Amino acid sequence: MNILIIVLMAMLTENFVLSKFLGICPFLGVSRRISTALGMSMAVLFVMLVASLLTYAIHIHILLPLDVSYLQTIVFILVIASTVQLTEMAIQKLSPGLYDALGIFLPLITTNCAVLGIAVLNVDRGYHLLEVLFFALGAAAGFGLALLLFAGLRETMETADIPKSFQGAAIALVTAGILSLAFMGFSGLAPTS
Amino acid sequence: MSALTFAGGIHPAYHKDRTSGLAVQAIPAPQEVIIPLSQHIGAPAKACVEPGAAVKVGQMIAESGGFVSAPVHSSVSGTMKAIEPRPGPMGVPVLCAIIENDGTDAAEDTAGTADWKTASVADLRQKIQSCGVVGMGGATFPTHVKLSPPPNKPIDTVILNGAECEPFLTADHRIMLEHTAAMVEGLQIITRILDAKHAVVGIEVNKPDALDAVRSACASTDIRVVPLQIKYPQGGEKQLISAVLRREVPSGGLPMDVGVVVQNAGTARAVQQAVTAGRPLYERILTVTGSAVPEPGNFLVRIGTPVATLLTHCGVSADRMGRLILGGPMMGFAQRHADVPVTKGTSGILAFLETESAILPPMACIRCGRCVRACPMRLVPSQIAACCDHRLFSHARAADAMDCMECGSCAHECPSRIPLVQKIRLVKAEILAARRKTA
Amino acid sequence: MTSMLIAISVLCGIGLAMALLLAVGKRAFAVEVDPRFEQLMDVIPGANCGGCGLPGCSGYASALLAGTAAPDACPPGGAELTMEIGRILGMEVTVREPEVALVRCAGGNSESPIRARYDGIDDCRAAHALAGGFKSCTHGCLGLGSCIAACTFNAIERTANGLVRIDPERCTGCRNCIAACPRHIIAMVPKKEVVHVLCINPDKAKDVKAVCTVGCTGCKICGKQSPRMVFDGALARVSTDANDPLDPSVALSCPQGSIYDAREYRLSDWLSSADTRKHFEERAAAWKEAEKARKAGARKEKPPKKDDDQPASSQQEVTP
Repeated sequence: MNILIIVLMAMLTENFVLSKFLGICPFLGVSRRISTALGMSMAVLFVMLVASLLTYAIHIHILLPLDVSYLQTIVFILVIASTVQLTEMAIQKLSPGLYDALGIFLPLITTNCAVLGIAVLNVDRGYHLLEVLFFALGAAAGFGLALLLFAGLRETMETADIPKSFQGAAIALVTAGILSLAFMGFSGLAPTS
Repeated sequence: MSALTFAGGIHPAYHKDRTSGLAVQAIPAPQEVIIPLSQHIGAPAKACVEPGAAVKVGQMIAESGGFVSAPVHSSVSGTMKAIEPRPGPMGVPVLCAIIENDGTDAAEDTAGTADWKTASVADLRQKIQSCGVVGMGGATFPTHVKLSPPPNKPIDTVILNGAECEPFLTADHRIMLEHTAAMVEGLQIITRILDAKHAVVGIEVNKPDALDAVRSACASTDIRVVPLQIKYPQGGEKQLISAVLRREVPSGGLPMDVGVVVQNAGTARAVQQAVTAGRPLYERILTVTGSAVPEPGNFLVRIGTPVATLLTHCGVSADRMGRLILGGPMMGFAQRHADVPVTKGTSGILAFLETESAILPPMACIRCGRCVRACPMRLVPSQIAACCDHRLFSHARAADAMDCMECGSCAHECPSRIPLVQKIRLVKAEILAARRKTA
Repeated sequence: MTSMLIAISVLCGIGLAMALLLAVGKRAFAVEVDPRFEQLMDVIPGANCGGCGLPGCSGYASALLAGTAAPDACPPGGAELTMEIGRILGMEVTVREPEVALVRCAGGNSESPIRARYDGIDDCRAAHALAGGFKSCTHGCLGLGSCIAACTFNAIERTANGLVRIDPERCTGCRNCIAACPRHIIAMVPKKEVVHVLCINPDKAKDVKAVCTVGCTGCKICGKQSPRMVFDGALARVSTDANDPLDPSVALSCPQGSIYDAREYRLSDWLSSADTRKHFEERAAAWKEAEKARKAGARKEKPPKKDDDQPASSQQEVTP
């Protein structure tokens, strides 16, 4: 039950993009096409899972025993950045199509706040291994949901007559704001703590 | 039995009262007829009479140019003056036979198949083909082709289209009233050729007299007469099938894919005349009406009669006429001038005053969704039109733009007066061009 | 002190481990990337106009490396880019003559009157599909601007006379407008060429004159002036096989005024200004007088040599 709440919260009420405003960079950058958004979501899912587990392990087995948990942020950034670099290399080698689609946005997740955010939140909230796993899963799913919704909206906006001053990033941000407002409506789902 | 209908559609002002009560009047053949050699969908007919030769009424002057084609017959007796390009009803010049009428109306000897119930189906089909019968609702698809479905697509139902949903037109209405027996016999011939189990006549309830007449004519047969709700485009093939049989023709498919053939009331009469009397299609019944027509009516007209002659007959003065349309107001073709001839597909001639035909500038789409509700094909016209504006033709194809039949319901409903049909037509042309390029 | 050492060693340890991982990964997942790709991307304009016929500028760069695209295939880049590409790829390049698009129609609303009211949407393709358009000439420019919508460089504009014109300075030669025109009026011409026939109506003289006052009738008078005026049936055209621009006086010989002299007039004036037309007609009349006088003088001076210089028949046609 607890796990289900964690997943739902990570996905909807605490949506990383639309409620916590983390990971806005890829949210705006890779949302022009639904197909690329899907690829990006998959990359984020993978990175979030790996980063959460790695940072969790490092926190439990290195930082806590040595009583240096104040090194949390810098160590996590180091680990996550390296992991993403590795992922990038792997994708470039194994799936050039996906690499072309994501292009410069893969390095973008290297220092992505959403990924760092999940690592820090895991530790702060004192989740155990299973919870960490599902929190990452839920957060990535929430990120993917927001990204796909937004990409769909932007594809539809291509046929809209947008005033010149609003074209491009401006209308994208306005739309993102409205989408965020809509997600705020999920806050009623949050369990009373 | 309550009246049937389909999903979507609109209720335009019908304006049928002026002519629906007027009996069909035969118009004397004009001094000169201009008979286009391509009056049907498919390959143009090939002229087979030299200029200068004498022709009789009903004589074949052009033979069909392929299977999907139809021969053309002379509508007067006299002398073939020339075969030359003349302005056609679609705006572009078409090859026409110009025949001078000698006024004798000497007719070609024709023989019918009185006993069509026992004659071979191939003979009947041949008869219909050689008489040049085409769909007379406006699409002018050669009828013999429609009556030759491939063997893997058996036809179980023939629907006779008596909806006449286009505003202003009353020609089919008059045919159903005045030529009821001929029309019903034509339907029986079509049913026999297709070996269909059921035959249905669909008539909109705004023609109660026609409903009664056809009902009593069909009383002794197993033909079903179905009242239809008054709605445009009730007479569209796919809409009629949906209303009468609750069957949906698949996207990109034909009525024969669901075992149905739809024929127009006028076509059924032409089939009957071709089979029982061997009489080629050289005249047709049409409606002349509109606000610029002082004396409107339904007329029996020789094919090839210039529209200008008919307008003069109805007392139209050219300077009062703001717009001239061949066909119905929804799907007909606006004309530049009246020097075009009546063809097999001309179901009506509409002349409007300048004040009635003003075109106001379009405004922005307000996303009211009325076009979506109106679309009988259940498309999203506003979206397809927006794809046209932004040249996103692949988006439009994904929105099933190719299923649009250009009935004009969306444009009629649009409060912003956006020319939706024009835009969708452009999108369709672009999609077809792209398809040709890749093929 | 110890806690500081611990912190330092933890950070260094993890950093070292990660560095090792990355080093191994780099080997394991090594992908050969041609360094010239980045160099090419730096020099290619990056407008993604599709003028090369490939999907975007990166597609062009890849095709260049694969050897499937020519180094002079990028119209916006021009000769400069061709040289750059040649340098990067280390190959011999020949610079192509720069070309611009030209709308080959001068028959505006005053020259080729409107024959039917058109209430449709502002799109040449829609108007053309509807019974061949609203203009008398079924080959001429409809001026509704399908090409303007297709141009990514803002090089095309409407004229007051119901035509469009392409600014040769802004045109990069990407050819998008050529595909957009339903009447195939737009064609590529050498940028340096100064004489153009602004008509593509292939009909006979009588039919052309019936629909337009500045249409080419195929009278072949210009052909007498220069062998570079070639004829496709009843339609004159400037051949593109010579290196030097054509002598603009050819334009003066045209009795219809369908040949445009870019050295003397601005295209926008030529298409819409009555004064320009008047000026041209005066010049053409003066030129014809001078020609006549020269010919007459030539005939008087050396009558016996006339037949050797030029065939008599052609002279008679030039001075009717």
